[in-house]
Amino acid sequence: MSTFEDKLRAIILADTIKEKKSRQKKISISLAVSFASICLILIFSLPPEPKDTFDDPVKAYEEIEKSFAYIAEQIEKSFDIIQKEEEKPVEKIKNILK
Amino acid sequence: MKKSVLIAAMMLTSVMSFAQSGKSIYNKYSGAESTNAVYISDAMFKMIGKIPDLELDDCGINLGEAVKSLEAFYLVSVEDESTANALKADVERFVEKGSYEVLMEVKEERDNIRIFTIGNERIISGCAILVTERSECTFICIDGEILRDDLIKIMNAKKEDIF
Repeated sequence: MSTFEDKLRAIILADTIKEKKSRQKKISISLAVSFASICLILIFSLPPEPKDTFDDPVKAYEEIEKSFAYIAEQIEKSFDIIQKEEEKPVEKIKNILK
Repeated sequence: MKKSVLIAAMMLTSVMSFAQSGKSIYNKYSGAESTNAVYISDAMFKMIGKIPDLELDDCGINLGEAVKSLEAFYLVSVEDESTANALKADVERFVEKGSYEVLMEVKEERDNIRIFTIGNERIISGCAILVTERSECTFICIDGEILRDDLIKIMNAKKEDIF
């Protein structure tokens, strides 16, 4: 009797292990699929490398110089605006005092 | 399982951060109509570094040497108002996500000049400039390392060249 019970338990245990293994297999397959799709998303969403505008380093250098000059011009313009704004209250006071 | 989810989340985060780079903004707008675009790669910067006699007399900096460790230079200038507004919004998002610090911001009526940098007291590792004038918008992005002092000296020298 006990041997039959043992055999039954063994069969149930084997089934449970089999089921657990197949569930684990399913999980690992779905994980692999999601990992692969993330990799694909990554590959396709990376911005492509743009092409250099200049082939000649001297021309590229000239463009950088021009850009630095543009930035300097903007900074200078900003300082002019700041200076103008700073002078406004003084002008207002002068107008009141007139 | 938790590890996989974490890795996936990290990868997606990096994708999102790539979506907000100077390169992606350049790629998005460089082909648009009424747009001027310039891209200089790290390979070109290295070649510039090899050009002899690039010293600026008035500030004593070898510009070629100063810029040779730069990785990329992007310039996008847009004249169409709707494209300019879209570019401005994209740059604002990029600067916000890239943890840039505001170096300077000046507004006057519809004109706006904003300069952002990333780095430390000595070295600048990224610089973004956004200039909006009426319906025009210009975006300059410099990736890579340059000494803060060198950049200031170059700007001063260039300023004297113009004025």
